Amino acid sequence: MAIWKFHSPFLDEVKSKGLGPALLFKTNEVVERITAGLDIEDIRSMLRGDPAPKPNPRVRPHADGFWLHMRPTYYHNLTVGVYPTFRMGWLSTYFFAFEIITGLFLMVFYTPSPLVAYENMLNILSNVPFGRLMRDLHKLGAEMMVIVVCLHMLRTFITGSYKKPRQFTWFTGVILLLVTLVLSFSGYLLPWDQLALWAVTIGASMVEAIQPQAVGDFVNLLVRGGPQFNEGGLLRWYLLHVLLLPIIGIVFTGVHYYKVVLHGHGLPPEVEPVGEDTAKRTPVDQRTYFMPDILTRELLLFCVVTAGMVFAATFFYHAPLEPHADPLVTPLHTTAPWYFLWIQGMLKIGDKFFWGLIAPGIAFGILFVLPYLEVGPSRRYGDRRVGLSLGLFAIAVLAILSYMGTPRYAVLSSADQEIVAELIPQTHPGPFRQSNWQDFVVGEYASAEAHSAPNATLTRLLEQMEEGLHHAEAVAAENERAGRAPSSGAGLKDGEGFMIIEDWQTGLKRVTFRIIWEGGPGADATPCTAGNKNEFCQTTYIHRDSNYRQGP
Amino acid sequence: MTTEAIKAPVVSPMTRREFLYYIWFGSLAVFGAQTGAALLWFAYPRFKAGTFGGVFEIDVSELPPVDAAPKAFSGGRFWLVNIGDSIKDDPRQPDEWRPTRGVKALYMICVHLGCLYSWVPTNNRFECPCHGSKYLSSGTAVAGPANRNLDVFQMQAVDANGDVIDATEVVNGEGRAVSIEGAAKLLIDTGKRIPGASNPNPFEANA
Repeated sequence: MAIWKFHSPFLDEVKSKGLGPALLFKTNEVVERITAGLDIEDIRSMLRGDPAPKPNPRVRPHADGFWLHMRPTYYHNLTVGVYPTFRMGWLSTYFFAFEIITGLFLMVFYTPSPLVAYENMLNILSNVPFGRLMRDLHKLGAEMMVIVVCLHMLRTFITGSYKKPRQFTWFTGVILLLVTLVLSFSGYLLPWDQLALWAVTIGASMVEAIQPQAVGDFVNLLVRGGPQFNEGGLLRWYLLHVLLLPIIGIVFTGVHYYKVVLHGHGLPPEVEPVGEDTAKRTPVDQRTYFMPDILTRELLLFCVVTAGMVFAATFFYHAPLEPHADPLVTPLHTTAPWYFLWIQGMLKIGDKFFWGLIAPGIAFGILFVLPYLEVGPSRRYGDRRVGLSLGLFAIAVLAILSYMGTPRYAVLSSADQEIVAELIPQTHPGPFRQSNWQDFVVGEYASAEAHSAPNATLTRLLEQMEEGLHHAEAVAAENERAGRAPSSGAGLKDGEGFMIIEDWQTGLKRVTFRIIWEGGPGADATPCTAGNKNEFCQTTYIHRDSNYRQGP
Repeated sequence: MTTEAIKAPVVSPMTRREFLYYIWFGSLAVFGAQTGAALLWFAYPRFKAGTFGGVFEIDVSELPPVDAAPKAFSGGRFWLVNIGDSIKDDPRQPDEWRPTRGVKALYMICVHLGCLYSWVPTNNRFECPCHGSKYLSSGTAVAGPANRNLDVFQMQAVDANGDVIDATEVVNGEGRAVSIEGAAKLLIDTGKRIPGASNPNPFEANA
């Protein structure tokens, strides 16, 4: 009597068939388990380009596997081209995954504390292998995700694909839009630079406007983590950015995908009978199966987009990093990120409770229920003239409001400050910091004599200064004609510009931009003496290794 | 498909089991609301109220000269402005909030959305770098989206013996300037902020 039993069907197979065939058989079985239904021969037949056998084994992973159950088994031939989807939905998901992966790499080198966050950034930029690339990719991916998600919604609106039965798919899509926007915005604070602190300060002050005031004060403290942004606030926004929002995004991406599989991809509006949805009635001869055709195309798109992102982040795009956050200085021309400029524009119109909260609330509210409002049965462009016109009108309004959100609209300071801010802006690198350190030859240069400067870099900077002065002169002349003060609307009379470059320390130069105008000290007076009237001086420093120069 | 008649739902009497379910769901909803409130309470930040809200003692010698550019005191987050006749009679100053002679401690933060406005000598006024609110040195908003004048801190002017000569009073909806004649020191209580008067001034682009 055996005291133990040893079960090994594989050994029995080896005994009966021999080692080689038994191994092959076992491998085949493993492959079939991993792919949830496809064995080696099925896969090779796809790679050879054989027509699908009947019954088609290639649909099995959709029925039995987790990953493919959220992708359709086949598509209508009319939906697999660039039109009508432009691949925007796929790209949205791609960028979401892209952000999670690049974000994880950044998290390894990041601590959410005001004491070290900025230092972490410098470390990532200068010390971590591929750290700068990873940060650039993360930031570029975030911008791309916002663009792609907006285009995806625009496309869905234009082709009327959100109409019955896909209204709820759109609804979940608006949730995902909000997740995308807040994800992007919450990432702003994490580097703890000037841009971060002040953009988020404005955002938090908007929620403070909630009425009644007690609620506004409460919510304000919740999002700031204290009376002022500091370690408490940074930690809150960090957790929002890396945990809460991604979870919400993943859950609703699941719902969104389920609805897409459930209802099928909408056909182009012009090929369907009005008021009918034939997406789930694709004739057999009109089908393109996910395996292998769609999968292959998606793999190709994945490779092309990823290569494009790496290329762009290597040669063209670098995520900005401004000076360390300073709670005592708000940089001139602080703006919201570009996708929130329309709100910033509205905030300049008037009351912050209405324009900062109620109006955007109404806009997003309308967006949520849009498919339940536009209930006409036809998806055809010709039948939706009113809807499409209103949509384009809304986009035009957004564009105008976004312009109003830029510093060009109603935030202009005095001409002297504006001209210097053009050269050394406080919100992006700007022409000065992007210039070569070697070109800053010690000396004093007048903008009027830009062409006698020792090199092209200095000439370019001085010319820009001179151009600004000319413009301010013209504005001042216009003011005089209209009887206004010469300085209103950033005008300046008889302005002269100077750039003073001094050696300050080893490898460090001090550069002073000086503007004098009508009634100020002469060009020969000691520059930048305290108490001088009609003179503006701003000093900046540039270091040999500061690596401000963006781009290759 | 779309022409199918919609059937009215059948109304049947509630059974005891159904009723008990509703009671159960109802109590769950109440429990959920309580949990939500507890979570908000939990998330409410803990901080020492008025960390910067102490009383600042400023010697009159530290004040800016009469009608000169305002002077910033970052520690207390205020600007001190010494109002004389030329600020008082500034043609840009709306009559409604014309200041009296004396000193005001203006809270450094723009009343619109929390940025720090700065003094722009060329234009002789405060300008906010974020959304373009403009204020005269009297604290009156003259352009941009701000809908009230600048906030001020409660201030007392005391003489060499420590007797209070003058203190901030609310006049016309906002704190007025404090007269410093005969004063030796100013006591500025940054814990007591007096909001500026409501001033929904016309929005003036590029003013």
